[in-house]
Amino acid sequence: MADKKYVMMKWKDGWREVIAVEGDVIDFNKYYVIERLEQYGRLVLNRPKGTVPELIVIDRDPTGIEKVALLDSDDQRTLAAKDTYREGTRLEYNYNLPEGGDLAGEIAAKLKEVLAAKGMSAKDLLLKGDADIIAVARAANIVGTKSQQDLVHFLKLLLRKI
Amino acid sequence: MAKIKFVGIDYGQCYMAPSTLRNPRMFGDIAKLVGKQEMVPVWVDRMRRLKEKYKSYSGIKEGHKDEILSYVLDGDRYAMDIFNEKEQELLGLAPGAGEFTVWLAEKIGIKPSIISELKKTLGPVGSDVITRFLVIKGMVKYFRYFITPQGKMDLATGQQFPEYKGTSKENGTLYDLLMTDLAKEGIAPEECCIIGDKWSTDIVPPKQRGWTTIQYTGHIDLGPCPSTDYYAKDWFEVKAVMEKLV
Repeated sequence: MADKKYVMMKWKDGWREVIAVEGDVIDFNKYYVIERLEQYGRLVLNRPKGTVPELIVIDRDPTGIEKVALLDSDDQRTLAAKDTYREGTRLEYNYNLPEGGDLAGEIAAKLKEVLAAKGMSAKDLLLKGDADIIAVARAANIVGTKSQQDLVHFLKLLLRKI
Repeated sequence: MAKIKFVGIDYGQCYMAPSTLRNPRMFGDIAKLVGKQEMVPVWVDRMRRLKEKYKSYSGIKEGHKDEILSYVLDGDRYAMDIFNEKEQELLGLAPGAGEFTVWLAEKIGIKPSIISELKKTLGPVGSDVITRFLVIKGMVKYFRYFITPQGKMDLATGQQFPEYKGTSKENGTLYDLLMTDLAKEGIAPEECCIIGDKWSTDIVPPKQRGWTTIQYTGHIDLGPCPSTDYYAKDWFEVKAVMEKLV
């Protein structure tokens, strides 16, 4: 593209890359490397035998996560720190997943509370549009990790149960 | 050696620790709350570019915060409101700072004062980022004064002393005026101590006036300074030093 310029980079091991930048770029300013401890959680869910497990990467305060629950199942867990495992520069904080916590019940109760405050039933809300459902979710302090569609579909499933 | 009777504390990167205020967390939370999850990497990238424009995040926040709204968040005012709320929520007390303050105020009987380069006009307690932080963290009751180039404020009564307006930590005029006030209470310069991280504003000017200086190195470590009496990498170390001074 004529309106782009390209930066070339070469590593000590011979690796070369190019990347497009804005066409009005003039020259190099500076280069610096940030070294910082980053934590990512990996929540792994079993799937049928022979199928690779489901994997959710948690990048929001991974050690702050407290409970997990799987809708449409009785699987509800409260995370409990177990031990650490070091392998080279990698340090893992492992958790036990004892059953309990009733996160699903907690969320359903909060939804009922928000609906009651708005003077509507779960059925009333199901007849409304996505924007109204999202507004109720927001009032109940529930957000979608990756998309609003996930949030709306989840709420619709839950609303049919309460 | 005279016992310390007045303790001044710098705010930014010293009493307040911004290390929990990370772009992925901040913009991740905002995007989820406004339903624009796909914008997280875009907003984080733009914020990093803005930081390079103004050299530091405090550089953005001290005079160019409007560009977080216009450039980073595409003018989304709701997202900007959440940014402002989250900014306070995600800032933390530096390690041991809360324990030190309670100990100093309740056990020793010295309520410290915040001495900070506030740039915006001083309003009621809780209307600026610093006193709001102290209120949110439940610390305001342990402090005596909020002393800034915009004025001095009694944090218990809200009374303001505008004669501080136009003074400066760096050229020392703020400390000169403060010592005049403290002299009226019978407190001499050698009975004053300051905890801060920057030589030019927290260490050198007070030392030139006879104060005891503790250089906080827990967030920004500028290295050894001839005007520093003690070094502390967290507020537990500050407390250990202060135990010998009070």
